[in-house]
Amino acid sequence: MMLQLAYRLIVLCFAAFLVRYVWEEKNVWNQVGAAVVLVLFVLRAFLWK
Amino acid sequence: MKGIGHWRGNRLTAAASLLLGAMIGLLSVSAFRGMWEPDPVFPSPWLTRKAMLADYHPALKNTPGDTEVFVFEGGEPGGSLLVTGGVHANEAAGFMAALLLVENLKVEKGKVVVIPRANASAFTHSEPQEGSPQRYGIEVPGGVRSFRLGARLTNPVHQWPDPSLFRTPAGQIVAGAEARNLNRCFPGRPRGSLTEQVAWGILEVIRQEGIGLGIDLHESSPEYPVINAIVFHEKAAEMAAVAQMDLQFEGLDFRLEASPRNLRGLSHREWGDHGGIRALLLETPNPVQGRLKGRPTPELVVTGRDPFYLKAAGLGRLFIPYDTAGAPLSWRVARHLAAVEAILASLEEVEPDLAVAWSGLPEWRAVVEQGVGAFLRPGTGGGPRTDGGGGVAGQAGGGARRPPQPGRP
Repeated sequence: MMLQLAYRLIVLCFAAFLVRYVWEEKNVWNQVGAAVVLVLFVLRAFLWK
Repeated sequence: MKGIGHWRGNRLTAAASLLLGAMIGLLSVSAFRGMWEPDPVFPSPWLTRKAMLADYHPALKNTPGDTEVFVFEGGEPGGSLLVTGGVHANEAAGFMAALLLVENLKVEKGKVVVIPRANASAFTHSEPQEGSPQRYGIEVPGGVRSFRLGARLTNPVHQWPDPSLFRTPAGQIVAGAEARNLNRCFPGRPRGSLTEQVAWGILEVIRQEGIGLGIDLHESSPEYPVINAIVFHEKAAEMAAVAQMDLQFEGLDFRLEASPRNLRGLSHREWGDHGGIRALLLETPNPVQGRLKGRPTPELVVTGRDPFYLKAAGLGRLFIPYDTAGAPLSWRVARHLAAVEAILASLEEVEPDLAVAWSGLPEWRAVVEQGVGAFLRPGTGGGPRTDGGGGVAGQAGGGARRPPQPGRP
């Protein structure tokens, strides 16, 4: 249980980093790419419980 | 003008990208979670009771292995039959034939127990790395019913990790992934893995319902030798031989395969050895699960028509007759239905006291001609039907079918 919580905390931290990256990035294709990676990453982490 | 790779982003494009991602995510979540919901089943009005596997093996309660058990009892005493479909959830005709029973059956004598989704967990995911379609559609009177195409093995999310090698409950050592293969896990273990517990639950159904005859419905690749076959436990040898002759007279070519005593963990072996019943397994050919297929599409599941299998047939590489008509789902379901009926008829000849009699089912030729969908209930769960079906002229490719087949090529 604690391990799962820790895993999800790490996922959320990385997701927050990706959101910040998209927000700050100056190239629109990098923004789109990072947003897609963000979605895949979050889905993989939370949907495949 | 700057190239396409140098378009400048700003806060607006950042917000749009995140919004786009969220939309993709929502669509994916919806499609993915849809795989976890079992397709509705609309039992015939003559269903005696619907139970769950957990009623027979309580440890399965609230687990992904729990599944519906449909029990039909007749007015006259007689034998008892268990039919399982979906032991391998990628073998659509096995599930569909069991569903056809559940939605049409009226038992006159004895008892029939049907488990259409024996490995419920395997229906919640797709065959990995195969590009398998998640669903396929069948035309039914008044619309189209959509069904999940599952996978051969239990969902790894529900049972993980696989061992390097797996010692089956019956004592044979097989590849690790077979730990999630329900048809290697019989007779199961009451406190084992999810798949072993499902196997144990099915053995409990056999014990608690006093089953005397069990038929497990499967499919296999057209290039696999055990195909269009009745695999029989030695206790069911005589019945299988009589049934095969009856089927030959009907123009349906089946081969007989004895269940090897040293191939352990399979239904046709362990139901007989541990459940003490006459156990049989039926195989029909399914191109979508074979190695030689082209693009796996929902149409291929239903029509069974594949150009690469046609080529393989021309080269003599298949163990079935295969032509431009393909191997439609309706034809495969009809074969299962005809074989089950022939086995019941032979049971009556061999053991009249254990006979099971039923009505309400379509004749196998009608399933071939009109399509299996003509005998399923409308997806809306409409009222009870008293006729044999009718309505639409079958799903794509399920209509006019080959004449009686020649023997093995």
